[in-house]
Amino acid sequence: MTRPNILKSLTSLVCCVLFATMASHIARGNETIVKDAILASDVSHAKYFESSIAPLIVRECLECHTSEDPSGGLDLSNRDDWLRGGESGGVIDLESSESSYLLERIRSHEMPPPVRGTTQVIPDADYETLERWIEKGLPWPENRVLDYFERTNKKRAGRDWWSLQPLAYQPDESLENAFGSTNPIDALVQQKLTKEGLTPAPTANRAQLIRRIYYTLHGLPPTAEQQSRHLADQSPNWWESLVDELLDRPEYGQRWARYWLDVVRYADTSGYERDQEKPFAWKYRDWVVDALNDDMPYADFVRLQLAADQYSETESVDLTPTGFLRLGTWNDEPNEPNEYQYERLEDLVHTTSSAFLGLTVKCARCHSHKFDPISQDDYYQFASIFWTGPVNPQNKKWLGGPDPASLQQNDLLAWVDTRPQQPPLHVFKNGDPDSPLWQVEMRTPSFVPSLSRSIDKPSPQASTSGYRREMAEWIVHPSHPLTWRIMANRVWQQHFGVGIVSTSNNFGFQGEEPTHPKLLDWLAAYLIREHGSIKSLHRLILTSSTWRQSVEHPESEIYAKKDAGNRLLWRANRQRLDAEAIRDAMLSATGELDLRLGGPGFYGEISEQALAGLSKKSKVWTPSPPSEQRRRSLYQFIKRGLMPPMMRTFDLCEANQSVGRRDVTTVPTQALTLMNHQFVHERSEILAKRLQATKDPLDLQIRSMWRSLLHREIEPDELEGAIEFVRQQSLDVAQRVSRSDTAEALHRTLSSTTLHLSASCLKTDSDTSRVLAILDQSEHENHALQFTSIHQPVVSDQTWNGNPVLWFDGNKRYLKLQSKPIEDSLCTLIAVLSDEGGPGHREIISNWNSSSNVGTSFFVGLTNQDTIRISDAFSSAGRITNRSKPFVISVVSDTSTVQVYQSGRQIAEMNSGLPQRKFHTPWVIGQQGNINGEYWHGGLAELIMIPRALSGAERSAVEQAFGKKYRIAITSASEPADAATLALSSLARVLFNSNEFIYLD
Amino acid sequence: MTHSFQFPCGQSRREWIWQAGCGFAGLSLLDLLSSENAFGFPSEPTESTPESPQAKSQPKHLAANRRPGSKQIRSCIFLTMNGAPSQVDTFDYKPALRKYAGKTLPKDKNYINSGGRKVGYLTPEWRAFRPGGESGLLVSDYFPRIREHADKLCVLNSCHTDSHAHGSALVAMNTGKTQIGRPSLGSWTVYGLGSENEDLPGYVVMLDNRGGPISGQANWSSGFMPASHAGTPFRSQGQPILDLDPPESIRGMPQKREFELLQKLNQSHAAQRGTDAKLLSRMKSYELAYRMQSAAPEAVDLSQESAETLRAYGVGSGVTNEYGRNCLIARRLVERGVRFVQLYSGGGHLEETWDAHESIEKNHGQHAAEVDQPIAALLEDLHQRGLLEETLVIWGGEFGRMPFSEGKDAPGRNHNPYGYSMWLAGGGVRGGMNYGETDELGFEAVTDRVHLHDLHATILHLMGLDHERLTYFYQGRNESLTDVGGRVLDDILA
Repeated sequence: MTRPNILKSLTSLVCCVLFATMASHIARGNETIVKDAILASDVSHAKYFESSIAPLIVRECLECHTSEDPSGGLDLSNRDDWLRGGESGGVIDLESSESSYLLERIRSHEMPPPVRGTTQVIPDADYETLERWIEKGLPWPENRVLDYFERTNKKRAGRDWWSLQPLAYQPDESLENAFGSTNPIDALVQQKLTKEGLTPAPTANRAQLIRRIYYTLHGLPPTAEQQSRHLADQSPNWWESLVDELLDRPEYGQRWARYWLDVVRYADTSGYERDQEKPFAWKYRDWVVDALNDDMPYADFVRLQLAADQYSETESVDLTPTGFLRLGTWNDEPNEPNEYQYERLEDLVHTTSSAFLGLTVKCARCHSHKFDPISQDDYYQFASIFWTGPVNPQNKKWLGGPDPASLQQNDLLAWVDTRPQQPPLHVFKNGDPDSPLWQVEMRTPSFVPSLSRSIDKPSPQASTSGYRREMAEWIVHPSHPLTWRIMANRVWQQHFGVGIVSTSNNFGFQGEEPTHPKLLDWLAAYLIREHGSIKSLHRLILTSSTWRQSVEHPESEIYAKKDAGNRLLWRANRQRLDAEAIRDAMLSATGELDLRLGGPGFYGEISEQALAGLSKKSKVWTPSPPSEQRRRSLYQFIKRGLMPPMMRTFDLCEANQSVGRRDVTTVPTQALTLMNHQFVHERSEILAKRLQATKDPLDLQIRSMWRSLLHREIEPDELEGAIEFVRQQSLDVAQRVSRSDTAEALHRTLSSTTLHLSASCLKTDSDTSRVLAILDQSEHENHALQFTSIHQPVVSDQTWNGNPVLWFDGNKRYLKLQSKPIEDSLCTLIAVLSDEGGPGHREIISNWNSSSNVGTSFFVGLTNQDTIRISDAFSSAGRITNRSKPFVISVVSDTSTVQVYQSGRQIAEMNSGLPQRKFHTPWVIGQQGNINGEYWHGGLAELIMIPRALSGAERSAVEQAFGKKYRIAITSASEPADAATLALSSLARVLFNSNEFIYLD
Repeated sequence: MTHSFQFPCGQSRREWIWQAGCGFAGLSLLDLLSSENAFGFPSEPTESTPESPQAKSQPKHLAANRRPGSKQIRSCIFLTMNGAPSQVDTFDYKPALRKYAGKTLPKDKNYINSGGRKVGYLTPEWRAFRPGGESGLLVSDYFPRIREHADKLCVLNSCHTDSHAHGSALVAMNTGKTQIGRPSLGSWTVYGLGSENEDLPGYVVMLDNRGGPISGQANWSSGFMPASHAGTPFRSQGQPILDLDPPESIRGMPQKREFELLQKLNQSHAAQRGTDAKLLSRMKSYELAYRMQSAAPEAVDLSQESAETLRAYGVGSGVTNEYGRNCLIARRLVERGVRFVQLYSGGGHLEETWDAHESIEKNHGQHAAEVDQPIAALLEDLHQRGLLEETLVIWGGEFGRMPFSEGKDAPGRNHNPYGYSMWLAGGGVRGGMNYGETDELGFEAVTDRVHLHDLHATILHLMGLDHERLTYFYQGRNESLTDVGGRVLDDILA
């Protein structure tokens, strides 16, 4: 193309844009201009009717006065009914137009009816127009029937609404050639900038670009190694190959899946009172990650989520993606179970139409949509595709889904039709199921007339209705005006912080119009042409100059006056990291991040304070073991009743409805979280320790900290300040490094015991040292008693670090607990003991029972010389050393693991939880239940049980405390930090809090 | 067509102000609408923005007309009796129950038997009713101390609600709907009015030590509004807010040094870049956080109160200690400009709450003893300090209880969403009156029925907000607390 040609085509494009702008002006309100122009023409002319009368009636009257059930029986969509009138008689007086009842009602401001208490007044000019027209005898073009949705006016969108029109580009060969060798994004953005007299910002520097693209595609910072490798890459295609490299990594899917999970209101529980886990919801999450990593064509992505079951010609279809239909909240105790099924339909219609169509179809449940051309029929047709599924009241165990037996897979959260022959719904007057109007005919929605068609009823033998499949096919049709625009815009939004349409879930009248309509259409057409490849769209966007612009523009002060919101894209938008990226970036900076893909979500550590909001407190939340805690935020278990507080503070959305774009707020609680949350303190400390382990001098450690957190070299004055800061902090901190953090964990743990026996709290026979009782110091008062003297253990002659010890001589000495100390195998036991028994079995605590609890009891003891036994299930649970000297034994029994420690050192870990135990049988201390045998031989100074699996820090705090009390050396995975470490970690925390860390340039 | 009125990153004006304002919802919708020009923004956006339909439709007349001469109500304290107290045993005197005692509820009264429990016989009040104050308003002996303030109370005897299950009914009482996911009353209030003290959250929730209410966070959620409008759980002792303080080792000077270095780094970061409100507002949020570290503990520091006051609230003595502390802290919070304080009585499950299935006398005897004196002290204290005129106090549970027992000679009562009592006191409300009636058995509201939406509409009205105009545009719809329902109870306004 030669230069003049480019100019010519540019001009014509600009004209097009201008014309489109004018047209939309006319469509959206400046009707008066049009009207004035035509007023002069003949009132009886069809043109006059179309330009002055029809829009007026449609806008002001038809919301109520049309359709099969018009308000007051008055239908104003055709001339015959104007003349016929409604339930209260005629509305038109042709003799004396002024006394027409219809006009009277308008004059008295009764019509149109008040909205939210505000009187609606028709402008005088419109009133006069109407009166004059009635006077002329209601001239009306023959057979013309007005349609409420026929066109857009200042109150609402019609079928001519921009987002319902075909794309401006065809997804064919002509597409790529439209802009020659220029990236079409740049060409179309440039057009608008030129028109406003703006020029784009320079390209961001390479370091910024590397940081930016890593966060954009992976939600993670580059490692120092990655950063320097890409900085050093001399090849001319370094950028393109970096884009490809990152798109090929699985971290890409982990990042982008999260955006989709917001759209589909993903959570792992049902919400409401019981907030039950939705088992296997995580498989859907993993499916989304995989689909993105595999670059699944978008059409298939839609089809499978809506109707995988209905595409199954074979039996072996994977139903995982239909989990999409199961993710909503679910109330197992609705007030009216029959009405609740219609609430569930609304949720399904709303999520589906928001996610795939960007329309709020749900608003047409009670009446025609107030703002968009969506009829009540459309709503009920849409709802009918789900009506053949498990929305009706059923067995509560199925959590609102189908009978698991009908899935033929019981480890899935999925959806299938459960009543395929269920006839379609009736339209309900005002949405009230007690007022059915007519049964809907199954059709695809009417708001895209060119694709509207009827849907066949399933054959009487069919095991599935096929309705969802039909809807899916309608949605993914290559000429659907919404589907491709919506998805292209979603992708764009995540790259620029805001979409071309900023309301990415709403492309209707109440949404925003596109800033770059042609660009949006081009991208949508490109997505179709690329067979729905999202990765292709990423490549195109990321290789544009527009995306690579700097956040800074030399003229920004001036430009900001013209376009403060940067909607014209004259520079890049500075973005704040979201909740997931903040957490993941910290773990990445410390080198702890666990990038494992998939699997059940982990339960994050939530402080006791935050758990106070739950009615059952800690019972419903047991943090996963430490090995799970360093996984990406995507894998955090999301409980609707307890959103992870730190994530929620940073605007993680509630998962009750589809969210197209999260809020981004800045509030002081975020500052408090990043300054004080235990997670941040742990990360700071680990980073500090890692740097100290290099044995480098302090200044090198600080330099390295700057590189790994801020991805740049530290400035000399910054270094000076940082060194001084660390020096002052260590002076201050050194004076008070205390065990206070440990003390907090210790207090927390000891206050949640359900059994706490200590040899310092005994009741002895007054004459001898025989022990009648060990008094439970937990608030459960579950004392251990023994009234038979020959069975009573004694107070030992020896003491451990001056503390009393209870002595069992292996000769039928034991005590009975008054009640069960635990009710669940999720528990922790920590005891201070010595052992002189063996080689046979001997137990310290047990509820074994020969008559009713043989293979299912819970006990902790030893066997052979030195082997720990934890019930029959783990009969070889690690070996202890130095057993005749006092030691601390800790057993942490979790859902999927049991860990055993001797004096802080791990001696065993089982990779499964304890099998089902029974806890009802009597409990004893110092032998094996009612066997009259397996007696303990050794000392006991302390024994506690807690009805949950302790965290490492909590366990360690107790071990340290016992170690100190009884002078037992405790091996600790994490030594308490010293002043130097705390000072350096303080510096790290400041960087974690800095704007430079939190914002992306 | 021009883009000059857009806000950074294409945010709506409101989003932008939230970011820039950065307090605990420090700026309200009212501020926003009235201060547009102060920000140099045009009062009418030329282009459709996601929020603009409402911004256009509700310029200055969002607030209901204020009553001339009366003090403006600044704060609301919601005393939430979690688990549902029985109306016929507390504030709704039904002498007919004596007459019909031992009979069953007439057959024509339909109801859902919540939880499918045993249905027993009509049972009169478990403790006697007596008149209180000059008005002679009847209050039972479960609340002898509150009765002394009868002339301050406006008892609504005709409340009814949409669910018989605790979880959804409590969510409805807090958010207007039984479905979870909507903003709570406190969030709407803060959204509409903002907070008067940036150093404290605008909406504070204090839970019962026995546990949170069922359905948990949904009860103080901000729903589809930004998280900053959610209620902030406050503890009455120690560190009141989550993550308020660092570990002991860096408390005080070392953390102050962290704040200082951080601001220095942020300043130099900002200086190297063009002006960006986002960066500046985030820096400001750290100043607020720092101030909050002293403001929040100060607010719960009861050592500043006289021994007499502590005694009046029952702080330090037995069963009244916990709720007494909370009530006293509530007064301190509203004094400091906190907009909405919700105090739960009853937490966890069943008899730990007001859910008196087992025995009214045992359950209500316990729970009323915990709250009676503290609530009476709160009313008196607010009154003496002149705060009652500008504070609205609300008392009630998520529904009421049946007039019949749970079986022959059984002393408990089952759930009843068809008729129950709540009361209001304080600014703008007529005291010493009953409004509405249940039938003669106290089973269902029959006269001047008050649906939750009516209650919410009235509360908002008293706070100076119009429930029809206080809307939030979300997903294609102007959402409001009362949705399409709700009427202001004009008869109870002072």
